[in-house]
Amino acid sequence: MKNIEITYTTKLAELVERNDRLLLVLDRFEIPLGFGDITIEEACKKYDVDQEVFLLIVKLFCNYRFINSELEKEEIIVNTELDKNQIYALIKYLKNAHNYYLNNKLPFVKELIMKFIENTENEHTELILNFFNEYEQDVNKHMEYENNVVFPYIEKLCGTNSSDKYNIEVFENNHTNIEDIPNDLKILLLKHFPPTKDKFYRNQILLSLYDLEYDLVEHGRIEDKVLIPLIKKLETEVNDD
Amino acid sequence: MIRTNIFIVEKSEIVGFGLLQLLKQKGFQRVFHLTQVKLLFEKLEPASLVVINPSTILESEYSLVDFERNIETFNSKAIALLSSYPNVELEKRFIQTISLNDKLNNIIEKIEKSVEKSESSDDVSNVLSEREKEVLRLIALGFSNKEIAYELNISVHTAISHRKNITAKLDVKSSSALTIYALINNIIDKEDFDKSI
Repeated sequence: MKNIEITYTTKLAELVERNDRLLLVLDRFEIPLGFGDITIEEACKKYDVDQEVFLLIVKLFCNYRFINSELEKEEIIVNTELDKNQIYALIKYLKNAHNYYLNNKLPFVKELIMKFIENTENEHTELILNFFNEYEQDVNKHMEYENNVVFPYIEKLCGTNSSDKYNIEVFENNHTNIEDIPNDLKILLLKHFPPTKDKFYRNQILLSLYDLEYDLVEHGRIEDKVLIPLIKKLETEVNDD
Repeated sequence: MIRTNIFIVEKSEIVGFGLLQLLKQKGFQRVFHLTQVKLLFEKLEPASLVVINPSTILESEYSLVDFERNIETFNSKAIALLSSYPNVELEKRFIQTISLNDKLNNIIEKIEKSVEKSESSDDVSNVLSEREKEVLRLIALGFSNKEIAYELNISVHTAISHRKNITAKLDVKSSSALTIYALINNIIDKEDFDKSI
């Protein structure tokens, strides 16, 4: 997955073959499956997706956990010269991602946990469900805040030249980490919860949590490394005018 | 060059500073001199070597047991620095003793050997110690670091260090996950837990 050369002429199918988690990215850009042999360039035209934003996110996604090298930091800074329309595209992507977590992925993991409980005779399984419910509420709060406060603020900032009382630094300072809990749950099921009769659902939960963790780390990184620096720049521009 | 932290705890400035200089000359990079046990508990770091005059403990508000627990929490080792005649009972509680009358080479040799021991003592088994279980029980009951420190009569610094060790050993970060661990392993029982929420 590392160091793959991705260009506008790379085919979507090849992209997914190289890193299957990019399926989620395609979904968030509203590119439907059944895309045949089209390239990134063709797909972006057909589905009205900004190519630069698409490529930026795909590359970030493929660099999972390699972000700490200086080189990549540089690469991201170079890439963050996005204009206002591209910021809209980025926000649309992030909103779709939120929708996926809140309405698809988390309910799906919860269903697996319920199945696990049904098939396991252990007095402590309920704790796992409670833990997950608490987490779901936190994610809900976290993302609703972004949907209802942060994104509208950015859209307003892009649309008009008036600056609000809110600023992105408030968001930056309060942007909590939501990747830790799936990891804790993963470790509990992997290391600490005693062996259970059900293995299938327990494994399915774990596989889902690995997925979710990867996805959330990437998601947080897009917000922290791309969105926040862009908005900071935009804020200074608006204030200078 | 030896990077292990060495904390000298000795009331006498002359003795403490003298030993610090000698050790630095011999290539020990990170040597600190403290005059009180209290300061040691604030500054101690994991896997350190402590060279301590036992009288500083006896004259302090802390007991020898407090001292030993702290050393254990920080996965460190302690050497007794004796200024007067030997005290067999006391010596037993340290991994080594050095006396002010020892020859310089002898002192250095003893410290070097102890440093090796403190470096190799990294606790690889992820089993919680009894003390850590006690702290975990309080975390599960919803105690803050400050409250844990008060309850167990330890410093907040030590309480935080316990918490760090526990999360490192169990590999989970959130209090909720720690609580589930405590319930699964009967470190707290359901009744106590229910009462606390």
